Amino acid sequence: MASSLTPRISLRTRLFLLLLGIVVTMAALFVFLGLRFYAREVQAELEVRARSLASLLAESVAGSFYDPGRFDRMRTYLENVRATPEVVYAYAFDREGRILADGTRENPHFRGVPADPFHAPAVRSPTALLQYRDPRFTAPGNVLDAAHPFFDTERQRLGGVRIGFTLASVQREIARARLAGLALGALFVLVGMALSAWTSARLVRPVADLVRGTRLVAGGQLDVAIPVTSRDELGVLGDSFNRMAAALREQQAAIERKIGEQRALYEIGQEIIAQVALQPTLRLIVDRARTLLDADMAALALREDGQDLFAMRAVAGEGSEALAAVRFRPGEGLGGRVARTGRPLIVGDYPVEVPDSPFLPLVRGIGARSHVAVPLTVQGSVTGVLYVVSRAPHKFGEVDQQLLTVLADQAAIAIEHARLFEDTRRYARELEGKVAERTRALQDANRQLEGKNRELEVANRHKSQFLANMSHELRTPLNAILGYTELVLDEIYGPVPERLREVLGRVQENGRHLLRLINDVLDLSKIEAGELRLSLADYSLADVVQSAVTAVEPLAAEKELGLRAVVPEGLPLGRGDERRLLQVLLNLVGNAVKFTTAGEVRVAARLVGGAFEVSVSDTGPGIPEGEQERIFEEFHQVDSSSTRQAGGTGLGLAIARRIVALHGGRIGVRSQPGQGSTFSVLLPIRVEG
Amino acid sequence: MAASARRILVVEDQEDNRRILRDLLTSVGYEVLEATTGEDGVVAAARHRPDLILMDIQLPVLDGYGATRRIKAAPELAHIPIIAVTSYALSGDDARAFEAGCDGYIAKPYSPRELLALVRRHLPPAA
Repeated sequence: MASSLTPRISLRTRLFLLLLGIVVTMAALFVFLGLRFYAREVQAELEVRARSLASLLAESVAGSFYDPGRFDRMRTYLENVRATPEVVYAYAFDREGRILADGTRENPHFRGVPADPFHAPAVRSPTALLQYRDPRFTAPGNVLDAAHPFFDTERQRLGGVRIGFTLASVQREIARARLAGLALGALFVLVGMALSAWTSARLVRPVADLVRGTRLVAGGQLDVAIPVTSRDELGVLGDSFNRMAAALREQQAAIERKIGEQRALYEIGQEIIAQVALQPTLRLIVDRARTLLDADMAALALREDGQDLFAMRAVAGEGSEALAAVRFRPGEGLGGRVARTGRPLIVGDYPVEVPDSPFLPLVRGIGARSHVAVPLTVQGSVTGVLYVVSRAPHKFGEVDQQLLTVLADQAAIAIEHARLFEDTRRYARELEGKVAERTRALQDANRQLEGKNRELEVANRHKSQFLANMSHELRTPLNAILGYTELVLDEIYGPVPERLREVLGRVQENGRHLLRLINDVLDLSKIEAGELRLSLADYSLADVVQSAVTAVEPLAAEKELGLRAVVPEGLPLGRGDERRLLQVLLNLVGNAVKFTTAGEVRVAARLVGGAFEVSVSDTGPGIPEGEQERIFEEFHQVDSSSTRQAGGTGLGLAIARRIVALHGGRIGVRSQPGQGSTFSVLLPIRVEG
Repeated sequence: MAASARRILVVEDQEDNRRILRDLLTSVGYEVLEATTGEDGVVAAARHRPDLILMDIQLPVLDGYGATRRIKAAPELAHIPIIAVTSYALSGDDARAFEAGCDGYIAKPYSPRELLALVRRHLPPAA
């Protein structure tokens, strides 16, 4: 920016060039005119000489005109004249222009008169003074020709004389003069130049100073003073400039002070607002108020909760401790006035201006003179008074009051926040206490519950173990009973009469039922106790279905039921506990055959979305909807009487559901009374341990 | 079937079970040797070199698996087929039986006829 303002040709240069121009012009003019004048003078002088010489010669020639040896005498005169250095020729002629005598015969440069073009005019007007360039002269320069008539005593013209003066010497002199003039002019120019330079510099310096000064001011540097050396307009300008810079300095200082105060206020505000606890906030407020206003002491009084009484809550500064116990009601003392009116007050000298204050002895005691007191206002009501105090009288002004007011406003907000925060914190602490109490109670309850759970678990394990042991112990004698019965029926011990065989058949049947019950109870208890582990191996679902169907074929045939297995070709190899899966399927197919009196039982296997689905459908009595979930519970059958009749234990479906669940599958039933039932097992194809 | 006088060692601690097996097997002409503990079973197997062993699994002290392992560990006895008789069938019993070296497996309650069929499968009539 500054560079664009730089003049292309500085003022100083321009001024210099102007002055120089004037000097050069003047010098040239002087030299030119001087030379011209000089040349004229020289020429005029020559002309005077030429005329007088010609006149003199003419008189001499006239005196000797009638002498007998006139031509010789004439020639002598002429030759004398001719001896003059500037004369190039001199001769006399008669009235007809004929040459009477010639003093220039010897002149090697003069080759005679006849071709002289000026001879005739000279003869006709013998007083002519002519200057011409005579081609007969080889010497440089023009010739000044002076002619003069001569007369007899009767004033009869007899003839004339002509004298030719060379102008060479004149011209030489003029040339010399021109040289001298030029030298003089050059000197003049040189001196003029120096003078111009000095003058321009001297004239321009104040302007340059001004330019520099304004640049500095424009660049923000205000502490400039340009030298004022003259009392002319430039001097006045410089002086004004200096005054302007000073004014700017003052303004800037004022602005900076203002900004400083604002910043300090802002920072104090931030600092105060950052506080959350009440007492530190109050201390910070009085501290900052004191330093901000450069006061000796500061104090803050707050309204007591629910009372019309104000009490000092924080003080700062040496000697301020005495103020700490002050309490006042609205109207009492300075603070009381502020509290009553809600307006700030400046006191220049407390003892003088507030003589009725009940706190006068205290104020005197600490030597307090100047005061500023401003109200802290929350929602229109005065909640406190903030003071600053100085021991110097009349220390505080309007600005101090404004600053303190802003600070008081921030303080009021901060105090409100701090109070809210403390309330919240107290509340939070109470809540925390309650929560902790509840938590403890809950933890105790949980511990008790856990203990109970552990006891229950142990009890449950004991129960399962007991059942397992029990089943084993029950089964051992039962196995013996069944074994002997079969041996007897096989007539190992001899022939068996028909009546006995029939009774033994009943014994065998009941024994088997009892065994199934025991086995199922054992299975369930094993599963419940988590002791049943799947023995995972690859299996063919088609084979499992076939085994189940084969097992019930005799019974189905006996009841004249249709029995169908529908298994598609190419089912993938499954992985699971084949024996257990067969147990599940046997149970389902066995139930279907058992409970169906007419129609058919159909076993179907297929792939459903990456799983095996095996369904067993019958045309039996069906299961009411309300029972459909409960049949999978232990010892539950639709009709308890049918259990015994069909030879079931009531545990088969419960076991089946658990085995399928152990495989990660699901078992379900769809049925409507009178429409038959369909049990479906959804089984992951490959169960990985 | 003619009496082959083949000898079957029954290792079983339960008196009734022993008797049922004895009655069943002798009725079809086998000669039956008996032992009531696993230890006795191993000793009897070594002394009498039976043609087949019916090994109850739940035996006091040394159980059927242990006894089977001991017998199968002896080179001169390893060829004798051993059929495990488990008290109750649960998944894993068969696997454990075969793992111990048993050649067959039957779970109680078995029907005598079923057992007989299994015995005959492992004990073909002597040439």
